[in-house]
Amino acid sequence: MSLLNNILSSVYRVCVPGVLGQRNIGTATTPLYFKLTQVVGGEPLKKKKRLDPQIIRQREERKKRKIEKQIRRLEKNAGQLKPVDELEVPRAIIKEIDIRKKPVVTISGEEMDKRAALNKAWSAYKYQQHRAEVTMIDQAATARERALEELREESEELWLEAVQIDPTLIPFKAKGPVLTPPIPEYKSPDGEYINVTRIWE
Amino acid sequence: MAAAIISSRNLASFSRFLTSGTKINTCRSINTTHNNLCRWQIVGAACVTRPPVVCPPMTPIEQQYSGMLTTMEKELALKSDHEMRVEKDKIYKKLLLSGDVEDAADLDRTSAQTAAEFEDACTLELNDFNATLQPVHDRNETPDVRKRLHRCLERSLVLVVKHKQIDVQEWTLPHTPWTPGETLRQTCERVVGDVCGESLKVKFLGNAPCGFYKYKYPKTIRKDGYIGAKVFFYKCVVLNNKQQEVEFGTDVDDHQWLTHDELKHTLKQSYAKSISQFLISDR
Repeated sequence: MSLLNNILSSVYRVCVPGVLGQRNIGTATTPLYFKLTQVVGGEPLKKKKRLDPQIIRQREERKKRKIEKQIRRLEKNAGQLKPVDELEVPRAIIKEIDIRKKPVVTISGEEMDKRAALNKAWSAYKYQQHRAEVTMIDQAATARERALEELREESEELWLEAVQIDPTLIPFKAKGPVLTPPIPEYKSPDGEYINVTRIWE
Repeated sequence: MAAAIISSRNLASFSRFLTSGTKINTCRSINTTHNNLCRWQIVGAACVTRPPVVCPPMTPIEQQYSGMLTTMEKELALKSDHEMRVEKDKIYKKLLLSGDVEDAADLDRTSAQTAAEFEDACTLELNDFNATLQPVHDRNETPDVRKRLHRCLERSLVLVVKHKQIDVQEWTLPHTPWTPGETLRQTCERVVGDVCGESLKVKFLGNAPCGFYKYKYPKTIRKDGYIGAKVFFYKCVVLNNKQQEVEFGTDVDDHQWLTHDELKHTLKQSYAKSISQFLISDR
């Protein structure tokens, strides 16, 4: 209502005291020199509280300590490795360990000698095998060097091409011999499966 | 003083550079004049090998040693579930014989099948499986078998062919003269493509030749001024491990897949020797 009054008074610049039945100060003069200001629509702004710098420091320190604690907890857990089920002895077996024990086998001296001799023979065998492999590789390397030399003698350009690195061989993958030969025309079963791998965080 | 030393060192290296440069130059000039008189033909040859498919059987000492390890492990091990079952079966049998049927019933038996029966069933299944496997080694090998890529699965094989255009029919690795404009490796890739066609996929092992062989042509057939051939071998491995056989091109008369031992007997002695230098033995 006061708004309307205001508008009216500003447009017509006439004072109509008492006509609208409002609180009004009138001087009954035109132009009107008195004017009501609108009520300021809000309470006065709060004065900003100035905090004690000590308290601020305390708060920051608390925050820091909290983070440090979290880090410490994480570091403590970092030492714990994910459990590997396959490497752990099942509980059932730990329970039955007494009835599962076998009678201790006593090995005769003769058998011990036999085993020691076999161990010796085995290491000699592996040594020979290793030597044969190393010589074979050496031989192949020498043969390649010789071939490259001969090639260089014939044509420098071909030699240059030959000494380039073959990027398709890096990395080199080879599937080794398997225990049983592949079954001809074997169709591997292709079906749905459920992944049972547990997720460790 | 230091500057003087450096400069003298520089001079030395520079002079060395000069002399080496002149050396190369003289080499070149000699080579070119040499070439006009007696040239060597550059030939690329592909050593197509098929790596072993299955592991070779154990040697006697390997068998002995693995046997020893197994017994040692058995001595130290705890009883397995199966061994426990065998024992339980024995107790059950004893109780049945003595007539303690009630006690026997107390023993919880999960299935009617005894451990012995289970063992028998497993052995049967294993035998059935072994019967389905193809024999690794043919006992009665005919010369025709040597043409098959899938023989001697535990050994590595090398392809040898008889080329048509050559008068002297000898077993050699597939080879062809180098033509200008290609690298030697490309020459070998070309010869593999010509000989074996699309059916054989191979992978060449590197850009460098792995071996070398030199021979002189007989005087009667010397052509284009070549006195002989320098053969550069490139090794490649067969990739398709499927059971399909290779279809050979028309420019070869005959082919064989040979083990390293057979190579020695089939090829010319000097040729076999230079090949054996770079073959990786499978024994």
